[in-house]
Amino acid sequence: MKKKTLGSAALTLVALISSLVIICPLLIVILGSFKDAPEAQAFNLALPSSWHFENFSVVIDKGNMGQAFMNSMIITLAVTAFVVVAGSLNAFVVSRKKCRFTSFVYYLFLLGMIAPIQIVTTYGLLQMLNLTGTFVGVICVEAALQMPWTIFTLSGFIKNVPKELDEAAFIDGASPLRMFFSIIFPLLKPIMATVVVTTAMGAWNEFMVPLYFFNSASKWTMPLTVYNFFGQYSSNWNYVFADLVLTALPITILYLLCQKYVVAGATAGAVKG
Amino acid sequence: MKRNCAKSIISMALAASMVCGMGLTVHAGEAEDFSVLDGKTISFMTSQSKFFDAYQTMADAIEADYGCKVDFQVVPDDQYTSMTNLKLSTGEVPDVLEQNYPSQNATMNVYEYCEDLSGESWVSRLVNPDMLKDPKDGKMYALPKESSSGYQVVYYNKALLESCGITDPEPQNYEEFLDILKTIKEKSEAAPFLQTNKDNWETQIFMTGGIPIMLGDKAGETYEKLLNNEITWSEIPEATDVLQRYIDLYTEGYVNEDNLSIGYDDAAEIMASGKAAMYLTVDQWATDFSKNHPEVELGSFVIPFGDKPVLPTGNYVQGLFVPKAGSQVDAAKAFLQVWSQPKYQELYYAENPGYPAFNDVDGGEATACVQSIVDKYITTGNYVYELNGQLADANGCFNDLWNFYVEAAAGEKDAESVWEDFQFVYEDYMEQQGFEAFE
Amino acid sequence: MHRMEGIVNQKKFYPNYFTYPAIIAFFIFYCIPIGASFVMSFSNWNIKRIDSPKFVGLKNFARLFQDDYFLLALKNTVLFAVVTMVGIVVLGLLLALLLNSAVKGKAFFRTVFYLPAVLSLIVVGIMFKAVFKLDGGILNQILTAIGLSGLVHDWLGDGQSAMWCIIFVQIWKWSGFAMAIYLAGLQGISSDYYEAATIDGATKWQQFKNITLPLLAPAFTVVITMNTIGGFKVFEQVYVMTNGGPGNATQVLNTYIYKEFSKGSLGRSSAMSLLLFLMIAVIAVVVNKGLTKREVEM
Repeated sequence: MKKKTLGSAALTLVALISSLVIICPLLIVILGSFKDAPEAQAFNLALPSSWHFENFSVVIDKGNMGQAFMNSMIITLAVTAFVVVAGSLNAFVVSRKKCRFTSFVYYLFLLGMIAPIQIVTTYGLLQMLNLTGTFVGVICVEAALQMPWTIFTLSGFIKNVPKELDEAAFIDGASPLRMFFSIIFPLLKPIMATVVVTTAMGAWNEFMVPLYFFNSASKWTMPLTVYNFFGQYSSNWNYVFADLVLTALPITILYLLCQKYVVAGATAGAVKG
Repeated sequence: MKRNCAKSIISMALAASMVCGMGLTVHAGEAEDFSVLDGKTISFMTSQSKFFDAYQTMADAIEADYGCKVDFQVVPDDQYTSMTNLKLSTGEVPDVLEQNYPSQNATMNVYEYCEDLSGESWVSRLVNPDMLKDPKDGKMYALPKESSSGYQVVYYNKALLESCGITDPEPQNYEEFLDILKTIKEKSEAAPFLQTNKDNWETQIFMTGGIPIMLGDKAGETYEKLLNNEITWSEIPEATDVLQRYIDLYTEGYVNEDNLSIGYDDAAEIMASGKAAMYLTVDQWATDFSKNHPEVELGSFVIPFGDKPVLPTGNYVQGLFVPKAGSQVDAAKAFLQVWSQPKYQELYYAENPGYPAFNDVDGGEATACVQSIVDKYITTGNYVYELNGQLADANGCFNDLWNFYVEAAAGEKDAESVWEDFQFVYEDYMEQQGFEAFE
Repeated sequence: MHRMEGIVNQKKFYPNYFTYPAIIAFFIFYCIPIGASFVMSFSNWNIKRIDSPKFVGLKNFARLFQDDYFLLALKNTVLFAVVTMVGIVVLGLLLALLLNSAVKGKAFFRTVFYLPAVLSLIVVGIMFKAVFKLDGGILNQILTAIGLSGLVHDWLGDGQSAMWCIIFVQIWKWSGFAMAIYLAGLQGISSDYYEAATIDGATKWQQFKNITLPLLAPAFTVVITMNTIGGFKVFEQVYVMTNGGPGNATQVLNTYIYKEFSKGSLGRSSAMSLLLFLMIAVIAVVVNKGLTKREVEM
């Protein structure tokens, strides 16, 4: 018994040290966002000598972050909703049905994770479709970028959901769509939380697509606002940090809300039953 | 027949009244009609290092006076050139965009994509229109922000040099310059010569100024031959010589140890803290430094590459272009005319004193260490234009050259191999650009 | 009889139209532009002649192999991909095992370890510039404090160490993510297996080797494939930390491609993209096939 407690303490210590490696760099940014400009420039872990909460209001005002927040929300919600629904439907069939078509689809998306985005030809495509500078255009491009990864991850996990469940539904006479949404979808909850968080964070943090494909700063997303605070001769690091904290905040909150599902043990019961 | 006659009389009268009307607008100046701006939003694309807080102040004042909003798009520096080129060539353009002028004219292909602004009324108020006209067709393609992009000299910490026994140095040849560095190294803890090579455009200041000075009278002819593929970069001994001197600064230990990891925006902090003694850069930096660190007094001198000091200066400025494909070109032009007015320009110069592009704008009081350079070199005509602007057609591949300079500074390349490697890149780039001499 | 029913099920229960929305969006907005770009890699397409590219055959490809810097970028990319993949696979597994053990405060550590995956690379880039700074950087301060001032170094200023710093940051950012995938797999393993094994007298190591590892096979497939591809595709990590510098020391294929793109040489940059694509495709398909086969065997 004693040995066990000792082992547990040692393991906790290891975990604690590892988490410091993650927390320390983050603290530089968080503490820096409350400092004045010269102190923030030092990039260290010292507490601010006085707390400058007004950094945040300056940044919100100058970076037009209210608008940017709305823009980011629209894009992230639309991309995530589409990718999760279309992606899981796709992954379900791909991982259940063994035929030429599905294995072609699987490898198509696997290859899709590989090719980097081609800015100029994508630009040309959006021009042809009359979608340049629109939310629809940006959402479509980002959704296409996120799709392969989602399908890849989901099909890996749907394999673990026993087929017997589908067959039970079939005997009940359910339609494929109803069977999918009422039986399979709920079972995917843990992995779904991961997929939602990952897709949302990909869309939220995406940088090149909105930068290149929007024509007006009024449509820019939160990550682009930070460039207002990098000066030529000296950067306003306190504002840069405050901007970064505000940009990271919504997606971090989403993660904290979802994280208990992200790796919850729900698979255990249903899958291996 | 009669009808025809009457028709031609009417059209002549019309033409005459149009000419008069045009004359009126040109001479009216202040009384110009800017109602086209009312309720408009001008999209204004610029990059993180070209954007100044004062722009927003100017835009607010213009909005109050003319009811016209400005939508600033501040793009990260390293994406900027590719973005402007992509936007111009695909026609998805902002109303106004800021870029180096006229050195980027060829890279941007302004002949095809940007409005000719030669007929705008602000042109007559320019301080130095000749430098700004396009070298190929003599047209004016952008509204300049200033009259020079910078005087490339060494700005030093006066107190620090005095503590080493050096007062108001004015080296007359390269040996004297090296002596100053040596004395600082011996007598202080500071790095004698600050370099911030993370941003490679900064590494090249030494070369872009030094090479034309050493070329002297041969400069024009050399550039011509390079652009016609008649000589290679390796065949210019002056280029190798200047680069070798630059490399020697490193091997002699005159440069700060962290030169490869710090950037331009770190320089002010380092100079203010006294960790470095001098910094080779442009006057805008010195002005900004003096504003933020009034407690540290700067002095300045020219690096004397040849047998006497000559000032290298940029023959380009920041300019505002109006892309042809814009949806409201007339409003954009009217906006530039308003932007050029002393009332708004002076809002900028109140925060960043310097040398305005227009003769009726007050540039404020320039920092002493900058003014002394202007008095000594500009007014006496003792200056040369830097290399970059002279080879505008090749501007797009200079980034590679600057990377090679950084490798040389890191001790990975010698001067000769920099020019050999660059020749390979240069020939290829010029061929890709479609210059016949390179095919 | 039962078998036949299974086949009927397949057709009716797993209709192909489920796959269409994803395929259509993906095909239009991803495959078409990439295909067009690959076609252009055989031309002298340039930003200055965006409407009039000329066919030049294999010239763009031939030139790449005369270009020392392209070869350097290739070498750096392979180094980066292999080291980060191994690092993330191993470290992610260790973290997952740690959190699956008797450690206190699981929820807290799980949150913290995953956090880097949520942050944008701009944040990460700026943070680690602060960590690796020569003058006043945290790493050098720690080294000095523990009496190792001899190791103080301009981490991002030296080409060699800069590459390793970027590798470190990649592992830092994605190990927690791999951990989450392993954890989902670990929690799917029924405790019955372990109980039975303990009764049979199997040691902890035997249990790990014979139960945990095999049952984690699908998780390994996901983690290995994703990180192999991610490693070869690396762009933003390098871009925000060194932009390929100092000089060209940390140039990888995607930063080099971006450099050509910035110069307006669109045909050339497409050619490089195509080569990179083919290279990763071969590796990814081989790796994935191998791993999926193993999954089945286990």
